[in-house]
Amino acid sequence: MDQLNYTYKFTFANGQEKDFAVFQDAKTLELQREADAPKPEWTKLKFSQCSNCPLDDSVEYCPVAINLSRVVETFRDNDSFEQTTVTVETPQRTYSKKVQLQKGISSLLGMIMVTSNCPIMDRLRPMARFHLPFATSLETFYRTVSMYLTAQYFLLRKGESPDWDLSKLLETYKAISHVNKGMSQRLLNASNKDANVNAVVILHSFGDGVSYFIEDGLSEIKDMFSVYVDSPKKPEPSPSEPNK
Amino acid sequence: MSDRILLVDDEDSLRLSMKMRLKGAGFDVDEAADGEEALDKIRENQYDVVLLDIKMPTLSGLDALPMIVQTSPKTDVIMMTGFADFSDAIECLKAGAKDYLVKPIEVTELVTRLKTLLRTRQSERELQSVQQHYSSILFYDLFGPLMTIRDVVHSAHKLKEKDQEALLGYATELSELLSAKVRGMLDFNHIESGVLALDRKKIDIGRLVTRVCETQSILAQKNNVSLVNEVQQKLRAALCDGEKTEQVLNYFLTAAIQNSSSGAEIKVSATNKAGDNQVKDQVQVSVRSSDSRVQEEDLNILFHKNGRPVDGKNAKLQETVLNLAIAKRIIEAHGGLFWIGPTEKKSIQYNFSIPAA
Repeated sequence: MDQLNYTYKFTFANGQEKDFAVFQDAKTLELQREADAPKPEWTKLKFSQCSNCPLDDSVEYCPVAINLSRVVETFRDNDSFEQTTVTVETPQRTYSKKVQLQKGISSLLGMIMVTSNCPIMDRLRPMARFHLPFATSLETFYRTVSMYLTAQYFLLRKGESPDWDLSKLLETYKAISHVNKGMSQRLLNASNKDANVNAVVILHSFGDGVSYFIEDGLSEIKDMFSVYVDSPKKPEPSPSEPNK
Repeated sequence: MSDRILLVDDEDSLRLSMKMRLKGAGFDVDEAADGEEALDKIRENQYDVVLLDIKMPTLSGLDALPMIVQTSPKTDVIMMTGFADFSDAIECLKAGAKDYLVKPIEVTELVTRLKTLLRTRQSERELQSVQQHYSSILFYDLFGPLMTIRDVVHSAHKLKEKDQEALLGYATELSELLSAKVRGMLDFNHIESGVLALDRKKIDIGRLVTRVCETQSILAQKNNVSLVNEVQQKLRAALCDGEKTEQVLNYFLTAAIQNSSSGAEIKVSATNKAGDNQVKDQVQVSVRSSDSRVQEEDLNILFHKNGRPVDGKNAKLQETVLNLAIAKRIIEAHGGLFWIGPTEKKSIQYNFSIPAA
């Protein structure tokens, strides 16, 4: 089975380092769960279960929580704004940035959450293949909409009705907002300090931003697409050219 | 002009998404990445509300809060945190924050809270301006009767005994009117500065209603309105400050009489009101005017609702608003309820309920 391998290395000001390796199935992008992943109480499905969770009682552990457990347990005693250098190695390139810890954790959690078989978060899974560590809000908005419109293209090719006005993406983000809230509640119980919770808060704010970006008709980036959208202007006649 | 919000958080993605949402909701939003930057902006600009993250590098929200309160006392502060810590919340509220939100924040909820807070500020400001205006006209109101009382005292000895009695009666009436006006202002100032001591005892509300109706019957006759007193049989006693409760009923009746058209009927009723799991048994007192010139929307300021601004020229309405504001605070201090309604066409009903003994 082909795998995609990502590593996140957090280097703190005191020289301390924390590494995390993430393996995904190259075709389905499903996260390969560690056999010895810790299973603390807060990873149980019933522990602060998301209000819109579709999983039934036969599922003992929340699939997202289990996959987050090692990261969350590692940073349970850290403050959100500790400065760290985060180095991310992806199959294609290496990224490195000095950021607040919450931002680095957020980037890692985001990738894990959408590849963990959560029926709600899975709708963002294709984005994991084009993971962009430390993405800005605008980059995230653009990647999200691009991913969704690509999915609509495939639906069109399949003969189904695409959702060109992105209304179902808005619904998806409403559902994701509940998951982020549920997850932040779990992490609140799993942590003594705020780094983990604030990492989810950042993901929530991205989601909230995407929703507004869509409701606002993507106006933030509309001008960049004028080459496609606006009719081409006729060139001005040069002064030397006689009027016809 | 839009309400101005300063959004203070060290996380740029959160600032961006909240800023977009709040702008979309019609607010004018400025941002700062930490407490120091926030203070710099607050020194240069006037904000209605600051949304302040508790944990931030450089200068945290907890440390910045007292400085913000000191620098800009008219600005309200709402704290935000991703890590719900009740002791932090209490500390912030003690230090002057108005509210406390736990992240991730639902922006719809935030917008609702902001609008409520801003409406309350607006009403409080309007009430203060009513108070200031009322204070300024009060001196003129006091001056005329005071001069009359002085003249009465000076000339009383020259009159016959019968005329002296009538004149002194008139002077007494005037001095009661003056003391009532001054007491109203003093009460308002006391209550607004948080000084309101209650001497709770078991009070027979039926007798209190009868007594107030008798006192107010002179004013009612003068305004050509009739007073009807309907006290329920076996009315329970109330646990309250008798003097303050009497003051509230006096305010209700004065408001009803002064603002009723000639020929109107004013009904004063007192009834038992059964409580439930959450509210204890209460005694309810209502004053209903059948034909009032003051309508419910004129008094919306009391409930922080959007309503007609109180006309600076209408002294009677200003007095009514001020007195009812005092009444509302007295009743709320008793753990009771104050409300207006039901109203229909020209009629208006003032109500309060206080815990039964």
